[in-house]
Amino acid sequence: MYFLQSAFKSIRKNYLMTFASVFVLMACMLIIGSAYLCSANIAAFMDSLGEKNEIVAYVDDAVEESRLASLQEEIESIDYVESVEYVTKDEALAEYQQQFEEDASYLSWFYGDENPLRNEFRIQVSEKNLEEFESVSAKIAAMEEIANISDSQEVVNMLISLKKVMDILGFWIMIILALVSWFIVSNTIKLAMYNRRHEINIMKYVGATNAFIRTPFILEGIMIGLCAAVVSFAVQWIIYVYLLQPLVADLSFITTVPFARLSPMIMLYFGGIGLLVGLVGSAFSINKYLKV
Amino acid sequence: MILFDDVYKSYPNGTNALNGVSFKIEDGEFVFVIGPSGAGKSTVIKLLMHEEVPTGGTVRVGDFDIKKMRNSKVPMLRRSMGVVFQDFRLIDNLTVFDNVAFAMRAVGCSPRTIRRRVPYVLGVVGLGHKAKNFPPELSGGEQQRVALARALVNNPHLIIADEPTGNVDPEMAREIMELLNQINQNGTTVIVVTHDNTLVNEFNKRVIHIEKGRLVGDQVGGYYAEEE
Ligand SMILES: Nc1ncnc2c1ncn2[C@@H]1O[C@H](COP(=O)(O)OP(=O)(O)O)[C@@H](O)[C@H]1O
Ligand SMILES: [Mg+2]
Repeated sequence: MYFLQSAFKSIRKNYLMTFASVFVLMACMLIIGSAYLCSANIAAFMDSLGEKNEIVAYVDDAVEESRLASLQEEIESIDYVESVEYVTKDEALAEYQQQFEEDASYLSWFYGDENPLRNEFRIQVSEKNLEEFESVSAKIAAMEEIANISDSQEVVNMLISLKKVMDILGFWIMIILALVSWFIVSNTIKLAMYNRRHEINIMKYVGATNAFIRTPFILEGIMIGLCAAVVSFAVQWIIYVYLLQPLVADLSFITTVPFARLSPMIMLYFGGIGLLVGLVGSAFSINKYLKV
Repeated sequence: MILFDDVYKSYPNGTNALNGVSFKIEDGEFVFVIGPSGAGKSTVIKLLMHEEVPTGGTVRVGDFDIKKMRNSKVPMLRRSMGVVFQDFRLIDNLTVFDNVAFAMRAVGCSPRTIRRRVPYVLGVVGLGHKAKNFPPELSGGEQQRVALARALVNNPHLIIADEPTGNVDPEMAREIMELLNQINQNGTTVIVVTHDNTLVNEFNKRVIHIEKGRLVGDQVGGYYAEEE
């Protein structure tokens, strides 16, 4: 109780600096959060495109069902093909609807009850021979019964490198921002201690332990961190749901991941960063005035 | 028990504040430490509370060896004593009550104990009615007594007062001395630093006399008694 009172008192006295550090921390968290959201969306988009060693071959509607089994065997006999799976268009539709949840409703909007998809073969190329991927897909595309194929390799490759860059960049941004946050929080606490150095001094003279004196300042640091975390979470949510998602929906066919699915990680990140920076920033900044 | 054994103290700027001082104070004693300004009296107190450490010799306070003790033990040392500082060291933006309560909080007393104990101690020093005032609103003598109340509040075995009568009129000075005397009668060791000879003469106590960082006298009785 005394500790909390003392921490609040210090914040009130030092509110400009406190706000500044909450703001900086928030900026850091929002940047990290946005990087995470981007990365998570890219990952989800990649998943929706299928695996990188997969070729989807769409069967011409004119092909008789009796031909399918031998067609599958033919594909399986191509070098480096590992497995072939036949998926009917109804199965494909059900899968699609499941993957994109409510957004799949636009399908029925366009096509009514009719299934716009085709029967398809999903072909896995051996992971060890990915360099043969293109020749395999060319052979399949050349088959008469196959209407067209989709191997999303190029897009996927691009996305993979984009995600790699995002992840590496995100990591370093996170390190730098963590340092910046630590710097500002520790300086805020230093200033708070400077403001109360007289009091701290006297506390020492009447026999207070360092831990006793530090506790309110560490609490102050943690409060700054958690405050920034809570506000950042709200801001991140608003930006994502009311700005980013509508924008992406307007500009492209990409389906964004619902915020609710990413929010636990965001909460974890923000809470963790806030707690850590608050704790470390305050705990390692306050020794000068304790040495009497 | 307090022991100074051939104690030297020089400050970083080269001032030799103490040059081989030795004395011993038993539990329950009442001792004056006298000497002119700059003699090294406050330095003696700083050593007792580990605000400074001796550059030579040994200082012992109870079981604590000031020079060898670990920093983590310093709070325990300070809790065993109540110090009235020459400059009071009150916190200006805390009320009189909080200034005293503060010392109890610092050693982890419960709010209930604090609410009961602080008004009592303020009553003892005659400041019950000033509990809600802030130090700058008080006279020098009143501030002095707040500092005394803070030193007393945790019931220490040792009370050290640095010039407790320096800033007050003679009547108040006598009252403060009477109070310290009374505290001493209850078994607390009291060390009073002063250069007020009349008071020293009035109370027939042991006098440790320091000049230029050296012990020049240690006996019971008045300061002038020795020189006459
Ligand atoms: N922190 C310090 N740094 C340097 N010199 C000091 C310090 N404190 C006291 N002194 C010097 O040490 C001597 C003794 O000081 P002090 O113990 O305060 O004397 P007294 O209390 O008897 O007046 C003086 O010459 C004083 O200037
Ligand atoms: Mg002095």
